[in-house]
Amino acid sequence: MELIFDRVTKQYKEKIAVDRVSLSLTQGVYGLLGANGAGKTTLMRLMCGVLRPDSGEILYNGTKVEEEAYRDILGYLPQQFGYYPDFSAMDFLMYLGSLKGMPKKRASEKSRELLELAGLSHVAKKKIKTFSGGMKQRLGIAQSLLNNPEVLVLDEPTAGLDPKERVKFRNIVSKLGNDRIVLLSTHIVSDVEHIADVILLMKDGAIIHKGSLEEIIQAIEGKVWECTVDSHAAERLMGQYPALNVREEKEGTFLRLVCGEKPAEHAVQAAATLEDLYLYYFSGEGQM
Amino acid sequence: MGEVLQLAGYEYRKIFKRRSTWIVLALVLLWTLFSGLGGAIGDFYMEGEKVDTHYHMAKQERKALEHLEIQELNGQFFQKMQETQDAFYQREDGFFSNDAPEGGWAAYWNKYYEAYAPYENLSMLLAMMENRLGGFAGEKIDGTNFYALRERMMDLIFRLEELSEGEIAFHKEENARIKEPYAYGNMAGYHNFFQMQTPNFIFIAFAVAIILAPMFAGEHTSHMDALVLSTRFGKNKLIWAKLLAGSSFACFSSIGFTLVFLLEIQAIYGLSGWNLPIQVCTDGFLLNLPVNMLEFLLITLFCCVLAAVMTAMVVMFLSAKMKSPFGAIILSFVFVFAPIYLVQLAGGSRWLFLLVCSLPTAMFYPGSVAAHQLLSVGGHYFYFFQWVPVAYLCLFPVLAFWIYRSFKNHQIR
Repeated sequence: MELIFDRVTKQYKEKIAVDRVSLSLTQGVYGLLGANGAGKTTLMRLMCGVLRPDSGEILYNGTKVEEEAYRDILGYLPQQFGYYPDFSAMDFLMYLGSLKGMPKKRASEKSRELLELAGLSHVAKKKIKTFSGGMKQRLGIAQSLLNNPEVLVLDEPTAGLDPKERVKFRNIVSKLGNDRIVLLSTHIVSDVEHIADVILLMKDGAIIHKGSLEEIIQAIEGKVWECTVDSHAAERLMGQYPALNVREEKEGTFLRLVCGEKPAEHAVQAAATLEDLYLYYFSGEGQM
Repeated sequence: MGEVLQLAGYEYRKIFKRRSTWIVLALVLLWTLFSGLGGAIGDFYMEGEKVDTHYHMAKQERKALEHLEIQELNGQFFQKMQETQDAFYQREDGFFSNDAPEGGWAAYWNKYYEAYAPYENLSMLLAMMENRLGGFAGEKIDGTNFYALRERMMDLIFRLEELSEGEIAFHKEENARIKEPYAYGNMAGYHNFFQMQTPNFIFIAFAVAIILAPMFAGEHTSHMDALVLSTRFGKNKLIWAKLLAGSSFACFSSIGFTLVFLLEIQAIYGLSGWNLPIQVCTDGFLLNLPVNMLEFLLITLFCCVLAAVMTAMVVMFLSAKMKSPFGAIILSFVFVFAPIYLVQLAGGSRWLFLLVCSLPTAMFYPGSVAAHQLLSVGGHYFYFFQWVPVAYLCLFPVLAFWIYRSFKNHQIR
C-alpha cells in the first residue's frame, strides 16, 4: 500500500499552489498542517483526482489517481462539504453508496452502521437542511467511510465539531489508520498531535517537514523560552523573536518565545510542542 | 446498465425534490389545461347580446361534423353549403342588419349556427384560398374548381417560396396521391391540437430548461462536485445517468402533457376524424403531404418530442459548461426563443432557412415539419420531419460526448 506523489505541481495564474511535491505515503495517519493558502486543499484535491496537476503524477500501487480503480478505494471529505438539502441523511448515504458502486443491500447496512457511529441514527430520515453544522460534518465523515476506503482524505474534518465529538472522531481515525492511508488536514493542531503518525508541514506549496511528532519538533527543541518581563522589554523581545504566547499578568507580560539563546535573565526553557512549531512557521501567514 | 439506471433514479429524485420543479410543472399543466379548454371558455356576443357559449358552439360543430350527410368535399357538399348560406343572407331582416331580429339575436344565432356549423371550417379554407389567390368570388367555387383553384394556389406559393423545379415536381406528385374529393368530417379536434401544439411545446421547452439547468451546474453550486467526482462512478456512469434522466424527463413530460391535452381535445372537440386528409383543416391545407390526421399528429408529435429531447441535451450541455444553473437557464431561453425570430430573417437564404427550421423550437411548428422546402440528397427529396430526426439522432451522441468530457474534466477550484 503506497501512494506516491512524483514532482506534483499545480499553478493558478500567478500563484504556485503545489510546488514540485514528491512524497510517499504508506499505511498510517498523516496530519497535514499549514496556514491558509499553503496548498493543503489543492494537494488533497490532486490526490483525489478532482484536480489535474500541471506536471508530475500521483500513483497508488501503480494506479493513476484519475482511474476508476483508484476512486473505488478512495474516501474523501472535501473542505466545503456539499449536500442535497432535501435529501435525508439515509437517502444521502444511499446515493453516495450507489456512486461508490456498492450493492444496495450492502450500502443500506453500511449506512445504518455509519449513521450509528456518527450519532445520527435518530435523524436518519430527516432532511439534511435541518441539521446543525456539526451534524452535517459528521454526516460528511460518515460518507467518506462508506466504501471502507484504503485511502481516506479528510480536509478539515473537525471543523464544526464540539470537543466531545472531536475526541470521538480522533479515536475513530486512529483505528482507521491501522490498515489504510489516512491524510487529514486541520487547523486544530491538537487533533494532529493526538492522532497523526506522521506530520506533514506545508508552506508555500511545498512540504517543508515530514516526520513523527518527536522528529518534527526537533526543529525548535531547546529554543522555546518562557519569561515574564515589563511591557517595554516585552515589546522589544516580540520585535526580535517569534512570540508563541503573550499574556498580561500582575507581575508584567508573560512571553513564550522561540529563540536560539536565552532571551531574558529570568527566562526558562520550555518543552516544545507542535503548536509552537506551527506558530513558529506560520505566525505571519494566512489568518494566523 | 443497472447502476446507470439506479443513478438515473437518484437524478429523478433530485429533480423532484426541488420545489421549482413542481412549480414549473404545475404552470405547464395549467397552461396545457387552458390551451385545451380555453377555446371552449367564454360567451359569444352579437350586438352586445350574449347569444351562445363557445362550449356550446364547439359541441354543436362537433355534432354537426360527426353527423354529416355528405362526407366528402364534392359538388353536392358545396351546393349544400351555398344553399344554407343563401337561405340566411337572403332574409328580409338580413344577417348583417343591426336591428334585432324577431325573437332576439340569441334565437336567430342558434338557428343560423345550427345550419352553418358543418361549413364553418370549409369557409376558413375558402378564405385562405381567397387571400392567397386574391379576388375570386368564394361563392362560385364548386366541387370541381375547388381542387383546380387549390392547385393554382399551390403553384403561386411554390413560386413565392422559390422552390426548385425538382421540389415542385415532387410536391405535385405528392399532391396527386391525395384522394379527391377530400373526405370530410370532424377535423375540429385535430385543428385545435395543431393550433396549440406549438405554444404548448414552447412552454414544455422552457420548463425543461428550468428543470434541467441544475443537472450538472447544480453540483457546483451545491458544492457536491468535489465529492461526486471523487467517487467510483462520478466520472463515468453518473454522467450517463444524468444524460439518461434529463433526456427521458424531456421525453416523458412532453408525452405526458400531450396526453393530457389530447384528452381535453377528445372531450370537447372529438378526434373521430382521424382518417381525414390533413388538407381539410387549415393547418394542413397548404401542405402536400398525403397523410391523414392521425398520421400527421404522430409525425408532428414525434418531431416535437425529439425536439424537446434535443432542447434537453442543449440545456444539459450548457449546464455542464457553466458553473451556474441561472446562466444555463438564460442561454437556454435564448436558444428556445431565437428560432421564432430567426425564421423571419432566414427567408433570403435557403441554407439558413433549412438550418433555422431544423432548430428544436422550429420543429414545434406543424407547418415547419412538413414545409415545402426540402433537403435534396442524390436526387431524393426529404421533408424536415424526415431528415431533422436523423440529424438529431446523429447529434445526440456528439452532444453527449461533449457533456461527458466537460463534466469529467471539471476542475474543482
